[in-house]
Amino acid sequence: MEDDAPAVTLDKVRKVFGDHVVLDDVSLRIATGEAIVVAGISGSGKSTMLRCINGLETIDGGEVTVDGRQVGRSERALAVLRRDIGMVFQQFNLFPHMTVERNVMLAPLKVRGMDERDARTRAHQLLERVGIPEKAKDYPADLSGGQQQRVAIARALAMQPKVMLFDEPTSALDPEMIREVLDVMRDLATSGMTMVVVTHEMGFAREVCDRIVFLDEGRIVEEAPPEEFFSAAKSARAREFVDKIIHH
Amino acid sequence: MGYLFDPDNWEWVVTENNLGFLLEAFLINLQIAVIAMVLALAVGLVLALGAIARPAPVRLAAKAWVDVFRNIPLILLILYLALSQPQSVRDFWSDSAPGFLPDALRSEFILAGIGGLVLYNSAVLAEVFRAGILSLARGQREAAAALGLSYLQQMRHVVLPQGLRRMVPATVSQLITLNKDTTLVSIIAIQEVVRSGRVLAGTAGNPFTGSGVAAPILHVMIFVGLLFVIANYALSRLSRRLETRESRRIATVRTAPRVSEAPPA
Amino acid sequence: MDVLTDNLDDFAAGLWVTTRLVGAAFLVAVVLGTLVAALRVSESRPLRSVGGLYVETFRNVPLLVLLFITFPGLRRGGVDINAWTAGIIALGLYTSAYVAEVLRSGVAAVSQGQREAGLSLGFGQVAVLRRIVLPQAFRTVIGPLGSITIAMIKNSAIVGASIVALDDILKEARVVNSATFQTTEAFFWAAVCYLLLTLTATAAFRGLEARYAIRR
Ligand SMILES: Nc1ncnc2c1ncn2[C@@H]1O[C@H](COP(=O)(O)OP(=O)(O)OP(=O)(O)O)[C@@H](O)[C@H]1O
Ligand SMILES: [Mg+2]
Repeated sequence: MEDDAPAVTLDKVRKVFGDHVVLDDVSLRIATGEAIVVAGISGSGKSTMLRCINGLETIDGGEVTVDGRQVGRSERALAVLRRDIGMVFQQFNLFPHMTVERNVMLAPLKVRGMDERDARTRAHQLLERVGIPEKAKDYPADLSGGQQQRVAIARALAMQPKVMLFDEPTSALDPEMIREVLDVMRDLATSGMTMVVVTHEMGFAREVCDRIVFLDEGRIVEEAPPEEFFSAAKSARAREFVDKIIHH
Repeated sequence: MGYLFDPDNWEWVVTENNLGFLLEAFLINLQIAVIAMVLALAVGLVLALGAIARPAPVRLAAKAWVDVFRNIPLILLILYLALSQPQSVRDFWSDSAPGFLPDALRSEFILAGIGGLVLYNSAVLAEVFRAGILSLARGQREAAAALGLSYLQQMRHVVLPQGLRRMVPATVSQLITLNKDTTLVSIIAIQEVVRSGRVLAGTAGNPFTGSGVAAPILHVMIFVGLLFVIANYALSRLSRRLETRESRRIATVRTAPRVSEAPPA
Repeated sequence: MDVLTDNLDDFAAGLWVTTRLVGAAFLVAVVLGTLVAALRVSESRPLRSVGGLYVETFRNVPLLVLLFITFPGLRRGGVDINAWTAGIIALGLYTSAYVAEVLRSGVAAVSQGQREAGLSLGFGQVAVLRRIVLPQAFRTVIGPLGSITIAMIKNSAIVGASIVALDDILKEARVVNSATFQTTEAFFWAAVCYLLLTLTATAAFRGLEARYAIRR
């Protein structure tokens, strides 16, 4: 499944908020087509790492590249780069003043300059793919959380990104809706999308991802395929983490 | 009390064209309010965009401007503009004001009056706008940025449409204040309703200039006040309706049912 | 700068007049506003309507019109009212409507649960209002009261600018202007005086807010 050129690289990335070091010397290579899960306790720096990949946070040291291009600081260059990076947020962040269909069409229309008809066709295909074609004309407020999150995934996919980032996409959902979102993500991984997923859903990690990256206090302390991570983690912190989730 | 309710003291209302005279003048107040509001909205939006712009000098300058002009009395601005306005500006306006405008709006001081109203209200509205824009969850802008929208596109398609919609009720209630403030231009001799009221009270009892029926200033001003109470009450009902509609719309946007702690991101 | 230094006494006197005017009107506004807010939250429907009528009237009428009513209006009607009293009453009445609204929504913001907790501890209705609801409400209204005070400082200039003969900051600036013809300087320093007052009030209320804020 892996190509030679990595889709995403982090090289000695450092990020501080004030005097709090949130990411400390983080290096990681993610191959094209790979799906990785980022795990770690709350505050360990997972979201920050993800947000450094599409430049929502600027880094204080090291280098991040996506698709061979450096993630810099210039807003203009970042906007161009972000076309190829989809992001799904914990709180969905759909645009409440637009219909579902318009949410999905916005970036293809305005950023890619696609024409209205093609954008709509694509939006409908994607809504079909995430299983809610009938909601195209509704407003986000009229959808359940799970449906909103699936729209958010469709919206990100509409730009045909090379990489998809997910920041705890199911953490704000009622339990009965988690499944429907994870199913969409699983299909996406199977189709060969490069994915970086921050999640506490270890079932998903075990079955779907190629590799688990475990963060602790801003450092990567473990990187392993899921079966190895769950059965034979090398670091004490990772074993502790695994024990906790397995025995809960 | 007898003085207040004595029918003789109210007779001026139904005498000759007194009522029409006041209502016509009140219309001038409404016109000034609308003109000033439209201009203040435009200027206020520009100031608000300045106040959230990224280059620090622009941001600081816009903020300082807004903070100064919304913290000094409007009447001071109006008086200053009227007193310092060069003769050439007065002449320009008295000569070239379009003829279809009512006399009051062709007054040589009207530019100072409207200028003061706009200067003050644009600063107030800029602050309302800024708050409306900033109250948008940060996530909205990040979601737009993550899709690759440029700063201007984020503003145009995501931030402003939502921010502006939130401001509609606040803008209507600012219009109420503005409406009341239009009376201040009477101090620079513009013939709006308060000045007309004073004219009426000053001359109406005079058998040579007025109708011969006394119009006590107390009664005239109570009447003028009533006009404002009615017009502004209607506006405030409208504002409240818009507000409940808006909060209902926002409340229906599902918020996360369980977030263990305030997420920094 | 000369305009300021040469007329420092006038500006200082104006500042003092404006401060006293605002202070006195503030007291009037808070007392009346509290009474009206009590009407607005009372159990009796007619009383609530009276409170509502009061608020709608004084919030929607221009201050300038009120001033014409309280000063020349009442005087012509034979009431011997002086400029200070008329100015304080007009500004106080006008502001009291805003104070009443702020207090009312402050009371409304105290949850039913707080009331019920008080009642179940054996407090009576009045005691619950006095000991539980009002102290909490008062803290939440500090911020809005600050904005009202600032508006009041600005509105006080209308008192001096209309016929009520009070020599406040703006009036002094006009006097200085007609004596020196230095319009821009005179008004600039008047603006500085008002900024001094509004910014001081802003800082004072921020301080109060920080001190008494309820952490929920
Ligand atoms: N904008 C910010 N300003 C200051 N500190 C921040 C900011 N964003 C994050 N942090 C801090 O950085 C650390 C890592 O935060 P991050 O959101 O990356 O953690 P996380 O692993 O995603 O946690 P969670 O599971 O709670 O989402 C935390 O201690 C957080 O308080
Ligand atoms: Mg996080």
